[in-house]
Amino acid sequence: MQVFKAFLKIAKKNLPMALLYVGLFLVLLTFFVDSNAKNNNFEAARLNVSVIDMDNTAASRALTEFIGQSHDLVEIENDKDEILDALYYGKSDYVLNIKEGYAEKISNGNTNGLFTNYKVPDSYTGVFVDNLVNQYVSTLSAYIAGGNSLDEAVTKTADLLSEEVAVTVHSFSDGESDNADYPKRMAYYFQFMSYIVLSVLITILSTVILTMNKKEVRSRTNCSCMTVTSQTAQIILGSAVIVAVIWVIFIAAAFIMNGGTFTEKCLLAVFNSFVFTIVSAGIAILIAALAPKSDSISVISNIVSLGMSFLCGVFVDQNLLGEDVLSAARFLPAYWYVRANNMLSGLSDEVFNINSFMSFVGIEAIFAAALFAIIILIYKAKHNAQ
Amino acid sequence: MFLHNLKYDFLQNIRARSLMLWLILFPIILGTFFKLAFAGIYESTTVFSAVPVAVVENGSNQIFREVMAQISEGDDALFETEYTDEETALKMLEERKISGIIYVDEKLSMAVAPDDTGSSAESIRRTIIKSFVEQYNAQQSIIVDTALHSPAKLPDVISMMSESSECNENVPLTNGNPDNMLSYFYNLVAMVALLGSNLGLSIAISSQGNLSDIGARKCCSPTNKLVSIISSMVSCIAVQTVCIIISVSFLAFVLKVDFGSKLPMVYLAGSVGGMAGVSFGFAVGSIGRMGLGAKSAVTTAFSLICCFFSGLMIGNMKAIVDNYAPWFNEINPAAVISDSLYCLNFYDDYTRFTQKIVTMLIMTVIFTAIGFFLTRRRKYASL
Repeated sequence: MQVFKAFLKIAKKNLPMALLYVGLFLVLLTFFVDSNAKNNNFEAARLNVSVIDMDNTAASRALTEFIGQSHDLVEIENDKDEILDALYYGKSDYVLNIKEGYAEKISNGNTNGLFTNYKVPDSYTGVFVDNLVNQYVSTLSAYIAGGNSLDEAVTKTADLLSEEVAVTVHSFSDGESDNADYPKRMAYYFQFMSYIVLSVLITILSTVILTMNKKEVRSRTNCSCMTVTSQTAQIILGSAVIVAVIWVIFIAAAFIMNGGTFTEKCLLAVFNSFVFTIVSAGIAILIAALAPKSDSISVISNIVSLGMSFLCGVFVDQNLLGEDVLSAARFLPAYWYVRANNMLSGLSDEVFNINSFMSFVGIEAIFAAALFAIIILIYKAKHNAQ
Repeated sequence: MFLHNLKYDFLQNIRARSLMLWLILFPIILGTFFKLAFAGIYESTTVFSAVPVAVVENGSNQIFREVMAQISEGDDALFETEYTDEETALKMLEERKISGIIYVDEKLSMAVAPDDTGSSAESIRRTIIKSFVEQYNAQQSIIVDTALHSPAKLPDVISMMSESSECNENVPLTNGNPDNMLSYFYNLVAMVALLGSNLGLSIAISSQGNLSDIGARKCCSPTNKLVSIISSMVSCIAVQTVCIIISVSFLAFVLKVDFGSKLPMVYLAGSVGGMAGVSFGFAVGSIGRMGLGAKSAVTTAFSLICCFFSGLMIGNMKAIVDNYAPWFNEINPAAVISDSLYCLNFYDDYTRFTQKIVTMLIMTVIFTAIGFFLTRRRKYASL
């Protein structure tokens, strides 16, 4: 077991770096989960709307308040650059400028040129708030035309428009995809974890393996009587120890985040992540076995981890990606991982079914088996070449 | 002496081909993936198209049909309407062919499917249906109310409601490309620039006698350390600039990413960002005695984290950061680089762009100074 021992010794030397890496990525993971977790029931979309009130009368303030009831009001400076930034980065979805003289005009029954607005051209959010403002103005002016004073009309409009219509939500699944036992936060945690695990494993494992593969070390090991298969097996065993430790850290973090319990569905997600971690380890060892130089490992690690994550729907949800991309992604293990996870959480249209879940995980396992077979072949070929 | 050093630094960088190769391949491969993955996302999630709804009528309501016809026609139609029975409507809803069902009775009511797609566009589509239903009900109440209390005003009220008002005028803000998926490409350029830190590491490693053979050789030469470091720096920056030029050209010409009308400035911003990246690598490389592998893990992790907070993985991350810690966007190198590209696309004047470029230059100077102060006067009695 000399190779195995040497492997762990080298790993121990790199421990601070590895811990730093795992720690930093755990922080990213929490940020990702927080910025993605959403609710599941029908809730009217709340947008961020900014109102610049140049009129500043009771009527204009009532309009602002009306918008504030169904949306979040975001304060903004009346400055073109700042408005542009806010719109582009989604800080504000719509900026409404109530022109001076709004109250006077509308009480005279003139509804032309009351506002100006800034929005992302042709966007859903733009059409939506346009409609909302039109609805308000048309209701208010109808009340005024009906002989009400401005104040009365404002009050009546507010009362009338605050009546919400009841929305029936039809759930088509047989009640099994109840999300209480697999919260969205956990779903996003496991989704993003695939990227993190791959990225962390490539960096840490390859650092150790590349040291083992240094010419002097390699030649010394090769001239011993140990068989290549045994060497490779020991390297894989050593990797398994590191992989297990890292996986346990991430699962422990998930356990704490979820309030110290795991339901059945969470356990299935844990199982899914376990199989994917083995796949990731296979990818990491393969890259280390093939990589030409240690200086390019970090760049290669980014290409593989970021590339696979984008194509397979880790960062951008799978149902947003095009059909062509998804059919190409089928050839990558992360696709099956994310698909299984989505099915578990109800993020996709697929209804949860234990058999298809297991078959997705099974496909990941096949990827893992194939990867390790290739690794053994490569080590053999390398040995023979020397 | 400087030129002599420069020549060998260039040779050294060019012979270490693999890193350079991967730095060039990185944006080419990821850019292609982005292009593939994001094709059509902007159109499907942000750009408005008519909302598909099914209408289930309980008895016939002529007024409703007229209203619906009015808003469902033309280029800017709000709805794509289909009149059908409840069973078909539910089936369509289950298959997600429609966003919702409107039931026409004395008052309107509606139904939707559970919101599990996580798509904000879908959620807005539902809300558009909801606000239409509410508006219809509201107008109905106004008419009933007026008819009861002051029937004489009824024609006025109806004409007021059916009048299409021009109350709200849109002011276009920019001629730039509004596609927010572009920010992923901005961050990709930022990532390439920051990955230049891996090149910068070699400056420090190859000047430290205890970390590399070249470093040992350099330490026993009488050349001034500043001269030798500056020449390494210049050669690394040159290599990095070539990588950036190839990356931006590939994105702009092969993948046809629309960076706006000021493409030469995009090259400038990328190159200056690359300088900041290289100098950052130099600073990290100079700290402590860790080997290349460990230091490269640190710089890469740093680059990734910077890019994460500037939106490489989640597009609107920068806005989220801006809410909690706006100062962080000003000092995060990835955010500064991607912002500079954003400014080029959106702003007509160069004020903000210049600010960003100056920020990058200041970062470069600070990192270089740190690196230099850490490596200067380092002597080895024996190696």
